[in-house]
Amino acid sequence: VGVRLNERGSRIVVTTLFPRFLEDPAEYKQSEGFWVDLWGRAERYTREEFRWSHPWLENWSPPLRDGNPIFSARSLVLRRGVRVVQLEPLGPNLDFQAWLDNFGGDVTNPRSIQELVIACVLSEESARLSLGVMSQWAQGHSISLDYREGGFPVPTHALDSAGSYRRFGSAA
Amino acid sequence: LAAPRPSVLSPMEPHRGRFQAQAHGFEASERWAQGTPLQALMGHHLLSYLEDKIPRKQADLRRDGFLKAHDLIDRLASQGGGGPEIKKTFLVRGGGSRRVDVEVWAGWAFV
Repeated sequence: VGVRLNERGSRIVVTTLFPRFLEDPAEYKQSEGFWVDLWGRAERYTREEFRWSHPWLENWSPPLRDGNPIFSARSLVLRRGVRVVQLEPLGPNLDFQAWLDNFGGDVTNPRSIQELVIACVLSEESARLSLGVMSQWAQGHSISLDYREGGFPVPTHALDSAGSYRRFGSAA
Repeated sequence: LAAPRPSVLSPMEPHRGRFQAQAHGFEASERWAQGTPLQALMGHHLLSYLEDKIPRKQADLRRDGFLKAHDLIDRLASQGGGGPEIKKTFLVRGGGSRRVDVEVWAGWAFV
């Protein structure tokens, strides 16, 4: 289930947040709020400069409440977007991946949006990884991804020189 | 199989979108761009065509994703369609970045 390696190459057991978000409307609302707060920390220094706005996607009523996406934001200044897909937990281990994609056309299309996509089970650990990569993206920086065994893409900055996950510290 | 394209693809058409099957090192898609909203039935056709045109192994790995994408078309159709900007990713759990994407880029779809 997703990326499960820590700095020693063994699996990381995480503290899952809002594990019943798909069944419990209250947990779903809490999850949405969690991502909004996390995004607020990621783009707090670039909000006005790059005019990030959210939500971006999920424009139908009634909402499907499937976590797909649970959060999205867009900057027309940067022509960038962020989309978070929150996954139902299938086990106790870290489940996180991120990749880049385009919305609205190929990368050569000036009207297209380049988006950072994060797909994860929400946990304290995946939130820290998400905050790191979202902050880079919100500031207009480039992101490099490393494809782990099994084809899981993760941001390179989350890895140490040996290619393992950095030890989790306090969030920025 | 011939792709059941509803019209000539043009970036200027008001109703545009894409179905996509992706993974690291693999990508296939079917797009639409037309003057009227994409009908749900045509959406099912395009999605099935995408599933048929990729290698059988890749299609089998994404079987659940394709089913969920078909289900999304039906759910949106029951509401009269969806748009103007929708993107949903159906990830193969435990399958790396293998996924099926449904994207409405502009206009309306699945009516």
